[in-house]
Amino acid sequence: METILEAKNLTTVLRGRSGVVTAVDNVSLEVKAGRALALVGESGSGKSMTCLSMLGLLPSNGRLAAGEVPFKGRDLARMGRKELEKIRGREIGMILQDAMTSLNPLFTVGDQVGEVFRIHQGVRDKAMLRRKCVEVLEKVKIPAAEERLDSYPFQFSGGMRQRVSIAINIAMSPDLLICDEPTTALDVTVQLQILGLLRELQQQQNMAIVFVTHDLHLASQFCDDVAIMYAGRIVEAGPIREVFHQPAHPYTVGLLKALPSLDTYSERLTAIPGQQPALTRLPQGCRFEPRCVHAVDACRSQYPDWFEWDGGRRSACWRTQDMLLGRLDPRAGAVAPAEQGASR
Amino acid sequence: MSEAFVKVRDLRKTYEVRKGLFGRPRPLHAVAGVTFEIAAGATFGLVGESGSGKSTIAKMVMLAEPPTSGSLEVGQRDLTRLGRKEKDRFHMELQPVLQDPYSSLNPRMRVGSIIDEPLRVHRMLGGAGRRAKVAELLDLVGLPPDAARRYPHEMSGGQRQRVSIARALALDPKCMILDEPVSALDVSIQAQILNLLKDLQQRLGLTYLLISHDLAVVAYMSERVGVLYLGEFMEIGRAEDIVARSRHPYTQALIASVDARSGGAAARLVSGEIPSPMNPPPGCPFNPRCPHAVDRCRSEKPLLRQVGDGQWSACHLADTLPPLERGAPQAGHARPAAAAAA
Repeated sequence: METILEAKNLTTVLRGRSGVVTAVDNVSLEVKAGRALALVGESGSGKSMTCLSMLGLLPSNGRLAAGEVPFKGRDLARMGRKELEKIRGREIGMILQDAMTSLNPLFTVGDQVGEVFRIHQGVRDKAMLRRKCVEVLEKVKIPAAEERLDSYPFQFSGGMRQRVSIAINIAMSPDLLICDEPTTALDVTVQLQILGLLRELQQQQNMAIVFVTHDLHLASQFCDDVAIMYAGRIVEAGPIREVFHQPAHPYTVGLLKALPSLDTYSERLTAIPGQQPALTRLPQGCRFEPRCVHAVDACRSQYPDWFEWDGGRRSACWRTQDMLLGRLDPRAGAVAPAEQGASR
Repeated sequence: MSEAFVKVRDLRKTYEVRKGLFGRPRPLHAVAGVTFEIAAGATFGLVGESGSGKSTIAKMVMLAEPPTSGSLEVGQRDLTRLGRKEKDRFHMELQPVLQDPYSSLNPRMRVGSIIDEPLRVHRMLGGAGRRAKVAELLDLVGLPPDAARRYPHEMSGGQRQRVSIARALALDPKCMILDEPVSALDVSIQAQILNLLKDLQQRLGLTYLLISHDLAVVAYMSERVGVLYLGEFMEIGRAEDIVARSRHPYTQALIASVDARSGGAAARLVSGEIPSPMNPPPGCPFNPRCPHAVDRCRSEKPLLRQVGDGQWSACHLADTLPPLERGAPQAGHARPAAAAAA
């Protein structure tokens, strides 16, 4: 399968009050044409920063310290601002969490969707612009698109605003759509509508999608591949169904068990003890080791190498083989009283 | 079942909303007649989407918002007729834990002062007594003793939520209002806080009113659940009946959306969004989105009626509604670790 976007050994440093931290640490991933990759992690894991690094959208205190970002044969990391601007919005779209903040409240929806055609296609004719806007709004299933062109964003519901934002980003039929928590601000029943729409558009237009989320369950319903980030690094990656059915990294296992579901709500939840380390105080070895029930001496002294196996899977854990062979007690430390002490 | 600690009868909250400066005020029914009870030491879960009225109910129970009508009783006292002194005492018995531990803690105060502030306000215990109480509370919520000297910004989201819980416990309340207590927290931290709240309830005999948009969280925590839509209960009953034998299409849609996320069939997902409470549809509030709606649903509003042991549904079709086929969870979804071991 053709790889459309890659990150190779991406490293991004951020300058902050407490010194310089490595927010994205040696991250490599591949986005295949027409497939959806989920980039899963908690806040501060570096998932959004990885996307911003790839697109050259780092905040002023951030700097890409190393790495390449090949996109259709060109390296985005070595591209000038002007060149990147041409690619973003035309070949790569980006959808953010809250459409209320990504749409301009002072312009009508028609103005904002039309802007894409004005800028990227040089369309000036008003009637033509309207026709194109209606067409793309219909694609994202906004009812009565023609009448709603003259409405303002605040007159739309949250779900409809997110549809507008999707329309703007797919108008140029990009090869890649980056969605950063696109449904987190929406109600549960609306979340699935938006994801269904994204999936449909992806198949229609044969787009690749990078879906940034904290929700591994949601991602598993929507994506083909997954990369799970923890404290700035990818800890496990592979086709999402397999990762879901046989997680190899203890952090992935923990994430899958940590949320109540409607099948297991009567049993006590297995919490992951402790919390993600601050980037200023990373442990010497594996970054998950202080919270890991399977940790051994090697985990404390050295960051694990990648362990790779069939089907494009990889895990950064010294105990991957034990895990895969079922040599680890999955219930080890399951309800240890220590889980209460999140005092690290 | 022990006696009800919280009794809410036909509670309503109506706001007058004006469109433009000279527009005629129109009523917005944020809460349109809600009745429930919480047994002492139990948890009642209110589940609903944004705009369903769940937070307005919480505010009224906390006396932060006066009800338009209806009665509210907590611990045998009628809340609508409390004098100032009695209100103070009431506030000691019922404490809130709010959603966002980032904005609900004063950034300029050390954790120790945040936790003992309620004690100082109510002039309880001396300096030494308060320090001992803070140490005891920190231990109770699983924080180390030296946390008292830290500032909120030095702590993670999960630790901050533990601080808000410790503060809420400072006055030895009998009841806590938990308004989305974990939705601002990271996935790996949510379970810690939910388990902590469950343990505290057991140890201290607390009564909880839990508010959440997440049916799985509500089912995990609660004995009884009320499903809210546009300010009214669509269904109310024991958690296990609501999950396994729901008799309302909206509850079924919520269940389907949770199932679809965790790998079940994506059947019965609903279209559309919750309408504005300014323009509720005639008839059943859910009818524009309901896959089963018939003519009667569009004209006549269904009332809550009993459909099972302690289970009530506000649906004309509750008796003939097909049960929700939940499909067995896919292997590995419920127990990923077991799958890994296999």
